[in-house]
Amino acid sequence: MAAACRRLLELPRVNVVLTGACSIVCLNAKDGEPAQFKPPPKPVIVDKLNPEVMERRFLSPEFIPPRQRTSPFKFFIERRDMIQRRKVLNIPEFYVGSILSVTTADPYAGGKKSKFVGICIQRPGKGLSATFVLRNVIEGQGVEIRYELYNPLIQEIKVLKLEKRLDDDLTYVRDALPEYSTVDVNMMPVPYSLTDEVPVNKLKVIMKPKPWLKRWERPRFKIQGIRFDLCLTEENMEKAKKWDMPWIEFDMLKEYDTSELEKRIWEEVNRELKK
Amino acid sequence: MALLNRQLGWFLTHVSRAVNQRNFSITGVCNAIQKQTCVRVIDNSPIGNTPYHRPPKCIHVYNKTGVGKVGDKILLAIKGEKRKAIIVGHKMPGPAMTPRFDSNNVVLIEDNGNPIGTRIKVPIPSLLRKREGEFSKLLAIAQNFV
Amino acid sequence: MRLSLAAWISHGRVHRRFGLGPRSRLDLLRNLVTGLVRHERIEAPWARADEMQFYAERLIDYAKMGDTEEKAMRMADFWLTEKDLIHKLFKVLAPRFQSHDGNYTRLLQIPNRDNLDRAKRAVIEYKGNPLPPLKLPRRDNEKTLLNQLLKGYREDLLRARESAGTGV
Repeated sequence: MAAACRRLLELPRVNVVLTGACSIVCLNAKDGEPAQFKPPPKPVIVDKLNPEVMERRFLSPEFIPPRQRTSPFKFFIERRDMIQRRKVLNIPEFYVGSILSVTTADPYAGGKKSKFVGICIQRPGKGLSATFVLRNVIEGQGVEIRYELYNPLIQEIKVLKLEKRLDDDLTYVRDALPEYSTVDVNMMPVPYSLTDEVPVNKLKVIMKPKPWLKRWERPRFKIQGIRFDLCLTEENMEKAKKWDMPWIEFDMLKEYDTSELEKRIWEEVNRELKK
Repeated sequence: MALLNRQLGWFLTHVSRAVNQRNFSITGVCNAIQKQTCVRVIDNSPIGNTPYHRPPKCIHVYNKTGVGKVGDKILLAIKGEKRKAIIVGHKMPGPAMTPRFDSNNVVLIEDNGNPIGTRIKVPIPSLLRKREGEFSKLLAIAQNFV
Repeated sequence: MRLSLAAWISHGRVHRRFGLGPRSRLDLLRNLVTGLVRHERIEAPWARADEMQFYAERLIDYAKMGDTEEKAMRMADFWLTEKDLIHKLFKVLAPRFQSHDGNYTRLLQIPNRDNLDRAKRAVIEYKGNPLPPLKLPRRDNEKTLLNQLLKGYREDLLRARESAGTGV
């Protein structure tokens, strides 16, 4: 978030537009008569930055407390600690499906630090114990590391490619072909805009043959990003629908509207970060 | 005919290993290594890489709990022989900030603790370097750490 | 389930189990909600009425969003099994509670069922309904003998205190 403030300072790009008067002056000078020196007209400064285009509002999901009977005071204290950590370490905005590189302190490694590049497949946990899982395939071996977002061992988190995927949980790439979780270790960061919508990668993965970690075709996973037509028959998909629970969306007891809460926490976090 | 059979066997094991490690596993997904766990030998020792109709299987774990984690020594039944090995990564998620692998990886060692193979290409957890004195020869032949 | 007491320990239970499963539970409550919207006051076992109170109030919240909202329409379509009531929900109940902010229903306990199982019964109603009020107004018992005597005693005391104060 500290970086967000820095970004704001850099943002106002001022475009300088010179009026056409300059060239006319030059033409006059060619006619022979030594024209008097005229100072070039002052450049008209046009601020093309629309004041309405603000930076994208992003509240990290671990700030929103889960729906339970725990005292809100606990989450308040945790938020304070999280903000303290964010003042020291720049934790950028990222989503499930983004490609990250994380540098951690490792006392036994050469250079005392180790770096891991991978695609973020989960963001479990709330509050101070929030984590994210990076996955990569190195030398044909799938490797996953679960990082704690606020662990003091983390030295740097860098977003190499900012994008979303069709699902909020990409655990199924463990059962997909390895090319979908392979990331080049020496990948160069792809520049991204801070104001536009986050691009959604509508990639659909092809799965390995059937013994899977979970039955991803079941409706409770609500998975969009799998090419089921390649690995399952129509009959299998029909059978999976047996577990569908269409009434669950009408059970108002299960609704958890966080919009108000989100607004309050967003203001609180921003106020604290500016101190 | 024998040659053809051998080639077919080689082809089958490698293809199935490449496609899915879990195809002939009989243990659960989220278990660390215990007795009867099928494992994958990742060094380049000849005994670990020649095809055989039965995958290498753990038959004993040398610790008090009977559940092997990274750095534990186990006894393998491999190609009809008994060999010792060191676990270098398992499928079960460990504590945070430590790697989790898609297969149960081991490195074969002799009885005196020296690795049989000469090279490990697959990444091994950097956690092992904490016990540098014990695994110095194993760490020396490793090429990738995560 | 409402938490009537702060000290009530739920052990993680948020709702009661009715019927044959989650689907059946909602179906059962759905019929009760439909009955409530039609008659505006119904009698039910206390547990069912208490469970259904939450859904009846949230349904009004949705109805107040207006009938152009798609989510509200879907909710009304699910919760009212008799479709002619959708019109009543949006055109009668929603305007009635426009100024209210929650608390649209009233749940009162009535005597237990006496013929079958002595089950705890309740009556639930939407507020502002045209039916005669459930709570009888308190009878004015000012004129009873006991109250008159007490009143006289109180006045005597006051008078005695005043005379004592002026005397000193």
